[in-house]
Amino acid sequence: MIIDRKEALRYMGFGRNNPDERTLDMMEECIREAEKVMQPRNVYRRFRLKVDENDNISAGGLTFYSKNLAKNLTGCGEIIFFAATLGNGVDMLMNRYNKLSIAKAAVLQGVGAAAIEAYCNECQRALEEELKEEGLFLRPRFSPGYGDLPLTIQGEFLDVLAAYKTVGIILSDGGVMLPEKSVTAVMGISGENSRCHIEGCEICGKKDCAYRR
Amino acid sequence: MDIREELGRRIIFFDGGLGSLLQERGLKPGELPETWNLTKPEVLYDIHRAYLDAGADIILANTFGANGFKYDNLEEIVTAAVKNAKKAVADSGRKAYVALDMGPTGKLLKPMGTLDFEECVSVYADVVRYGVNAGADLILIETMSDTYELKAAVLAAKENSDLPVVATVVFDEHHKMLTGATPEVVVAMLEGLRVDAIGMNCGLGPKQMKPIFEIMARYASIPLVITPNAGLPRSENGKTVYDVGPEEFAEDMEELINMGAWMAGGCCGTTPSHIKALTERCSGISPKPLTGKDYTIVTSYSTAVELGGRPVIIGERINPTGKSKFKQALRDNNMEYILEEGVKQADSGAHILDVNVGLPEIDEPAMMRRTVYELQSVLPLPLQIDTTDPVAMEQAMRIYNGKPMINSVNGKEEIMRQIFPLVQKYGGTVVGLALDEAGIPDTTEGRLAVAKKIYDTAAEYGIKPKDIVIDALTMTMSTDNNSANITLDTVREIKAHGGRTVLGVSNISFGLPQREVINSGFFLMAMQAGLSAGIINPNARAMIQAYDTYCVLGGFDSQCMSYIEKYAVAEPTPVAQTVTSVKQAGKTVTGNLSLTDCIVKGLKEQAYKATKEELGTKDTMEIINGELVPALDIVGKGFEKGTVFLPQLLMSAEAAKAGFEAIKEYVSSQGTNQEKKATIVIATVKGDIHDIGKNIVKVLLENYGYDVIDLGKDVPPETVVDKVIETHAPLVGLSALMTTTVVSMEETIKKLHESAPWCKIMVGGAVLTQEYADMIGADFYGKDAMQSVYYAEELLNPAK
Repeated sequence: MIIDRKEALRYMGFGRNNPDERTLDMMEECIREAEKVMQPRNVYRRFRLKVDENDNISAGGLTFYSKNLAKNLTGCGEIIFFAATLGNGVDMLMNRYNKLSIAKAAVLQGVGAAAIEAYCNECQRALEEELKEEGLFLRPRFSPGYGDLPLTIQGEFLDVLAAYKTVGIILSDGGVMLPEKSVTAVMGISGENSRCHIEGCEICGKKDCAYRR
Repeated sequence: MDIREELGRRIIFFDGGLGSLLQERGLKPGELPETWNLTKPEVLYDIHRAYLDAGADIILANTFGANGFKYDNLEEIVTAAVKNAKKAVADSGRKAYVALDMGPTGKLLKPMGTLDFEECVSVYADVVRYGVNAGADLILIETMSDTYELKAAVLAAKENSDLPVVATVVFDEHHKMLTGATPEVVVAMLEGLRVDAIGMNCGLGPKQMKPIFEIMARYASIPLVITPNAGLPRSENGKTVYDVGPEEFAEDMEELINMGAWMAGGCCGTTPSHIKALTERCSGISPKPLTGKDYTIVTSYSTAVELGGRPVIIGERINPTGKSKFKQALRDNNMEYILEEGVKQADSGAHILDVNVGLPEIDEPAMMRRTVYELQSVLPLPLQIDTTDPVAMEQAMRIYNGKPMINSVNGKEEIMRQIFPLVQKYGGTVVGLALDEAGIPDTTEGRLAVAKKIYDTAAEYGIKPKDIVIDALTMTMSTDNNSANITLDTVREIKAHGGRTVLGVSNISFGLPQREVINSGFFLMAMQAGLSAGIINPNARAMIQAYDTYCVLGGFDSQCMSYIEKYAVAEPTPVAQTVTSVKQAGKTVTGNLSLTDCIVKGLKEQAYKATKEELGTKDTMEIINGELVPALDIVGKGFEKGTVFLPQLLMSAEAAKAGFEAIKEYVSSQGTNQEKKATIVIATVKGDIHDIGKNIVKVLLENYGYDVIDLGKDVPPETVVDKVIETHAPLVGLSALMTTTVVSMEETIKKLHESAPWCKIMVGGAVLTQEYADMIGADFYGKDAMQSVYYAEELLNPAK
């Protein structure tokens, strides 16, 4: 997995601005340390999908509403529920620098966010390859909290995936995923190759987001 | 009859999977399986019967997920589960046992999560008590992915019953538990906790388990259990399926049983047919006899360190003796200082850290508990708990995640009777000092006699020689010319008898000049004599050089690779390097920088030095108001304008902090105290554990001279209110990351308004907006960390 430095800097709040050498040094140091302790894992399950005319989505024993996701899934007969995490080691590292160097903690946050994204992209590409053999195509990854898909659905996704047992993701009472650098997402499977990008901010309604591209 | 009596006489068989069988009979996704104990007992009865008919000797009551977090009627659920299973056993006419089955709680323990260790113990304790009352024959703790939760469950089982306890964990293909523990860690910890049998279940099929089971068998001296899945899970039309059929399963299991499993069964995907095939094929195998393994292992939650092979470095720096700064840190509850000492030693090459926080005027048990907990939340190194206070020792051993090293007992009867029972209960490897009531023997024979007494007394508590490490005692050279010889002879003798040794190395040079010269030489000689572990200062270059030298010459550094990697650079890298001090980009900085420049550029060490230099010529207030604060203002303004970014702002904040540190040291050396501005209480609210934003605010506020009381994360409203009332703080800062936790922020604000009406409240966090902040009654919303500083300044320091 290659961590995209530009993405990491974007998460640190640099936007399109150039960082200085100290930040770059610190980022490389954080990447080295994070790579040593990362234990990335993922789990996914594939389900038949039904989307009704009111944008209610049914799959894997769950039914939920999302207009944005329904649009994203147009033409899909199946769906993949997906979860991935970098594991506890990165949390421990963040814990350490939260207590000992807040600058490094902030940089590590950016690095961790870019790392889990990179890992998800890698998993997604592997899935695409697998589906290609069946003549099928994958839609972009879509996560709870994105657009109008509520964050609260996350717990149900994790249950369907038995995510604690399989990859160690647990939802705290406050609704936070642990380990911190974890992702849940769904991806539509379709017979037609509607050219779709892997990631993107464009669909999201939160226009004032600090990390918007 | 107790299952313990049958162990080893024949192979004992567990039952197989339950979840998928319940689903086949109509259990819906999301429905709690244990509710069926009451609503559909006949289904469970049938499944139990099927497994008994297939030959299972132990069936699991349907209590895997039953705990107080999920069930209000826990007692009823557990009782019914055990009754259903017992009825099946009775009707089957077979001699079989019912296990109370305990799985993970579904919550993550602190420090990674929010569940308190003792609360976790008590949640399991309820299940155990109900299970015992209902008549369970043994307790199975299974599918554990976290050693800390596992330890809580074992303690609950042992403290609330006399039943046999079997514990199994989940490993992945990388041979690790989710929290990073290796098989060695699991074996060492569970043997220390004295469960009756240990092993692995779930996660993998029998084939994938084989190499991991091999490692367990190599290290374990107690019976082993194995209950794999029917292969690796695969998704088919949205259903999870397992591909290993009964015959193949039984064939694979035969191999594992021949490798040493005394108890065998199945987990996910296995059915009564699998268990039938297993029992038919394997019931005739005689259990492989147990052999005592002679590995001395101490562990953290993830890392095992073996004593007896390559020498081990135990870092000695977490100890207040002779260190005034460390003593002050203990009095001030300054955990950051202690953690930095730990991280620094880890970076310098320590394998284990000694932890001594004894100071007459502090509450040592509380401090020891906290230090062990905090160190374990930032470092994966095993710890050596070093205290003469048995209460501190017990509390630290209890909350320790792993198998600790215990420092220490000696030949005194009273001490051994205090400490060995703790080791018997919690596990640990004990340092035994070769001295007793008569003092320190001045001959090798005398020290060996004390060592023998320690081994013998330990044996009374079931503590094996491998878990004793004899401290051969380093005595000062300057008082006796023969000191080193006696010590080294003792090390050699113990080693010759198969024992392990440790030395506090640096005492040898007490009273001599240039102590490191002698210390490193003595360390080298001791390793050559067979020393298992040296308690040293790993930040001292000469000591590490002696160690690296020995590893090369003693044949412990294969092809000298470690040595070359470390020493091939022209200039040896300094051993003592603060991890927190970021590698400064020295290349871009030349010449003498002003203090202001150092801070603006975020150069921590230079800022500290520059401040020290100025302290000779300038008044402290002049430095603070003339340079430190203006420099922070420059960076703060840049941050607002978007020319300085968060990492840069924080590097500057840390540089300023180093400057303030220099001032603080200067002021206290002058015997005065630096005045602080107002007190500000900050906290990340209950339910929320993402606290980096709050920590950033803390560092910045401290730089501006405020006395910041940081209550941490996941803080209940009452704690915030109590602290504000106690300190009469004029300002509180609260952070929350999630929409779900803003609710507890609102509750905290409401309570503060009621009980501490004088106090202003500022809030921040990813989901908050001005609108939201107004709605929940906050006085101020800070969109970033600098805003909170400006608000505090405006409110509490308006003169500026």
